[in-house]
Amino acid sequence: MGCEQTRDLAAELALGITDGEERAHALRHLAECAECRRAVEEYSAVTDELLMLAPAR
Amino acid sequence: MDGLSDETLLAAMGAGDADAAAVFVRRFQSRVYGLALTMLRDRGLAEDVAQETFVRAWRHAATYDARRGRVPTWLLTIARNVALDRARLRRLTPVDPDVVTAELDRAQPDDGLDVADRDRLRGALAELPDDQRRALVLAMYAGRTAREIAELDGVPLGTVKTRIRAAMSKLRTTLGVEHGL
Repeated sequence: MGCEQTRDLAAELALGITDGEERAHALRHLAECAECRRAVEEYSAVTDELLMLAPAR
Repeated sequence: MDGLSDETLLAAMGAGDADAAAVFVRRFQSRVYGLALTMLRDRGLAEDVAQETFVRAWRHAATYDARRGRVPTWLLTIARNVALDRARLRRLTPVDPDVVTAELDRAQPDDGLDVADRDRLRGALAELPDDQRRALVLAMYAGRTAREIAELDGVPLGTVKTRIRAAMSKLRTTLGVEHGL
């Protein structure tokens, strides 16, 4: 998987909703590409904050 | 012990300190249960998820790395995974995104977390086009894949992927601008 495909998938990776095979391909690319890693991390910051939106009960 | 930082409590819990564990659970229980209830809409199941979450937190306390995020985020990520596992196991029908959105809008007390960030994110979520918000909520709080959402809504896979990406990108901008990234 290259940069373009990984970027397309970055939001779904951060949401943890990619299927196993897709995820494996993406992780292999991320291991070697700091820029794509940063793209996923930026989206992960969003999912982190979304977790905090659920009201405490 | 109530005055200890989240990180210190977690470390003490990981080292087997039962008092620290009790304080840790008390500190985060309502937040963990709240997320599980938002995701599953079932009190019994949410309680079960909360219990399992704290068991896993205790088991993995030693692997917590402060550089990779705050304790509440780490814990709620575990809670989300447990909740999604339970939902999958029971083949629960996905939560109604409108119900979840309304739930996220509930007023809640200031618990020391960054309220301004939360309000900004809530505002950005409310401003998303309905179809983007629906796709994002199904992905985030029901763990549905793009393919599952496409089947559920009878729209092409590419459309759902675009909606998810657009929604996440807008929320990222909302948070990023304010963080000065």
